[in-house]
Amino acid sequence: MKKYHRIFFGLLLLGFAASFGMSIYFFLKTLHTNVVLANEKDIKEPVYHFILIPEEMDNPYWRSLKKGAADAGRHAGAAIEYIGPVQTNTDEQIKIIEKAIASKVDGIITQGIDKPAFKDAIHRAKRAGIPVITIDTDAPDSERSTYIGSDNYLAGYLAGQTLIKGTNGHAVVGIITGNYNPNEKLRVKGFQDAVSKQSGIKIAGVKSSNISRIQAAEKTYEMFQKHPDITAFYGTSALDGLGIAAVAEKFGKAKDLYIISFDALPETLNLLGKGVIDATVKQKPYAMGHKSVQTMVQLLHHHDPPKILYTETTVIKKADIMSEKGGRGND
Amino acid sequence: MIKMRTKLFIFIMVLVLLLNGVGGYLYYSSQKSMEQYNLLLQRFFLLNKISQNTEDAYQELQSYFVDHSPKLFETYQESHHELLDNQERLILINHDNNHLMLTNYRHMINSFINECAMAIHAFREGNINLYSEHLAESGKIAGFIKDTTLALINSELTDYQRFYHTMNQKNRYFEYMGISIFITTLLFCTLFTIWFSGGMSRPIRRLEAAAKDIAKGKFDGDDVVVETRDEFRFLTDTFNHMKNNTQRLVEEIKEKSELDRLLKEMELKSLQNQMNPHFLFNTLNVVSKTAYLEGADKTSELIAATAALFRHNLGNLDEPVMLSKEVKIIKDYFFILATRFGDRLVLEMDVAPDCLDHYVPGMILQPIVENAFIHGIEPYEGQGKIELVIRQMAGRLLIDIADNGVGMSKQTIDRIYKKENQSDRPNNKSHSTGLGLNNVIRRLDLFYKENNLLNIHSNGKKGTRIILSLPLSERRKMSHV
Repeated sequence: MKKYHRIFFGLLLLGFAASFGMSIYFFLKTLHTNVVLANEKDIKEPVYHFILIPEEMDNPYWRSLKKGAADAGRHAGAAIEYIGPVQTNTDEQIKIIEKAIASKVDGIITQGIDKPAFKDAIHRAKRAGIPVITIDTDAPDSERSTYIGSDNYLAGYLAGQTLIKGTNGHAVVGIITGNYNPNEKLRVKGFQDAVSKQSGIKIAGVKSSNISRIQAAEKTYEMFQKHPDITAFYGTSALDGLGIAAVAEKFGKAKDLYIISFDALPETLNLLGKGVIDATVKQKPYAMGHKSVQTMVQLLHHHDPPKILYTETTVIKKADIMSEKGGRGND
Repeated sequence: MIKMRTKLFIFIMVLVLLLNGVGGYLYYSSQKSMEQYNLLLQRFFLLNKISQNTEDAYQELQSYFVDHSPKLFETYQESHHELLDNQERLILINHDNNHLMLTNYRHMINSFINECAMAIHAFREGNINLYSEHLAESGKIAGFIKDTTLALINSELTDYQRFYHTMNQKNRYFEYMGISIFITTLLFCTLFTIWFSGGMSRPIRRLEAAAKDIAKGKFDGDDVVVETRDEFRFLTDTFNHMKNNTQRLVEEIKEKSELDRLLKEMELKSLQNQMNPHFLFNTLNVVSKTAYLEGADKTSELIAATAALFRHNLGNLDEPVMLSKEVKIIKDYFFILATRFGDRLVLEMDVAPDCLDHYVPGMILQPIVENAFIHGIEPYEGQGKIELVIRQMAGRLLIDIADNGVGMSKQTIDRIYKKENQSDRPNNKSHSTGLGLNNVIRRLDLFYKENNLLNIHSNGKKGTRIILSLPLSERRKMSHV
């Protein structure tokens, strides 16, 4: 009897110790669970506040550009706001510029748009003392301070030269261009100029995909129907190449067609590796973003940079992919 | 000493403090959550208010441009000021996640107010083109402000989602904590009750057992032991003390009755010895006188001594007597012996005169001398000699009785000392042992409340020496115990 009492008492004591410990544990848990709304008091005020307005928010090319800008911004003590339309929409882009002016940011970095409203907005920014840098696409007749981006004419020219080399100077070329914005126009122009001296190369036509992969495929197909003798395609925007490649694969002409594309999206590189796409013109969005922020800081300190700052463009082929994959992070 | 009351008090205080602490903590936490809720609502209200102010200011400005009434301008001004006040309060919302957006927002409000001011200025100057342009611009900015308000509310809601999640988490922890504390207090109370009631009932049970023993007359049981240091400790201590006192008193009573019994025995013995002592005493006196008249002087003297001895024995044994009286009895006794044994026996007495008026218990010396004679001298072939020396030394009365007889064996001495323990045995009336020495020893012990007053020295062959070392009594008569 006495023994059972002991055991019972011991169990009670054990239970007491355990529940007491649990109480303390949960008490400390509640103590350490801070239920507070975000309310940081010591926010580090950035030195500069720039806004980067892309053509399209969720686009690998623009994200790479944003990364370059953010890295440069961190270095310069600049906060980079990245705001743009979810899908390509120039009206919205212009509206965002106007908003940025009303928000009195320190600098605006935006893709150039060939529209009077854009010029008007840039004018107002200038009047409000906010410098504007165009990036990727220029708007030369606006009051923008500087353009930073590829030399699109040169890029087109490079593409033309590559095509001549790749087809030994004999080809019927179909051109799919994103839209008729100045960039694309220059890319087409450069290409045309490059191949014009080559008598064996004939251009079958130029069609716009409206920067849509599906439309690019449609236009490619149309062109095929119209000119069955086409032996090469040139896509001037990132998605055009993918659309062309999709059609080429479908008709089993991937090997016969010489496809030259723009930009180095992972998918593009994949197709390049498979040999569907033969070459692509690669721009350097990261360098653009990085450079734009640096230039903006210079502008704010009244060191007038040149009106145009070109970043490098290169042509990459299957052979370059291995090295490309290695250093894809920064272009 | 921790009293029962203190224990109970501490227990209740601990419980009350614990429960109040928990309650207080819960209240404090919920209060904090409420504060956060308030903050959130304030943020929403503020944002909403700003959006509203902007809208109102724009509408009022438009109306003012249409019908030029100063009253409308005043209402516009009101909205305008309210907007500025609210813009100041935007700091309330500022945090890391929305800092840039908020900065933009503040600037937009400034831009809006600027455009409005410029529109008013142009309007007053009558520049229609310019004022409509600025009005349109301010309308556009009002639109931006509305958009940004929504975006800010959106971001607040995103933050609130996190807040809500952690709050749920915290509430869950509170729930677990509550359950744990409930179990803890339950077990705590149970344990305390067991401990407390155990601390009460255990000493009671022990006291009960001890009390039963005492009721049966068993006083020599172990003391009741209590581990706690509360009222029960005091109670048991008192109980133990009482028990021990009672035990001591009982023993004292027993001792006293023993003394009485010994005295009775002594008296009985004297009575037995005397048959009808008064008659014998008177007869002896008559015989002594007759012997004297007949010219038998020695006989007369002998009989007178015998008579004196008898009379002494007739005296009250309870009463202490003067040493001189005792010495006188020894002389009489010796005279009788001397008559009987003649030259074979010599008595030497050396008594310091200043000792004579001390009181001693009656019938002390005579039994010793008798013992010396019977056991020492009688069996001895040669001339017997008994020495009695009485001295006062270092506050004690020393009585030294020595004989040169056959001496006492060790066993005999031991028997004499041990006799004490055999007092219950029916008395052996035989001449050899008698009540003699042993009775003397015990009476001395009881009278003086001291042991070893009588020492026997003998080498077992030649002579015995008995030394009494008695404390000096006052010169007045001592009251008998």
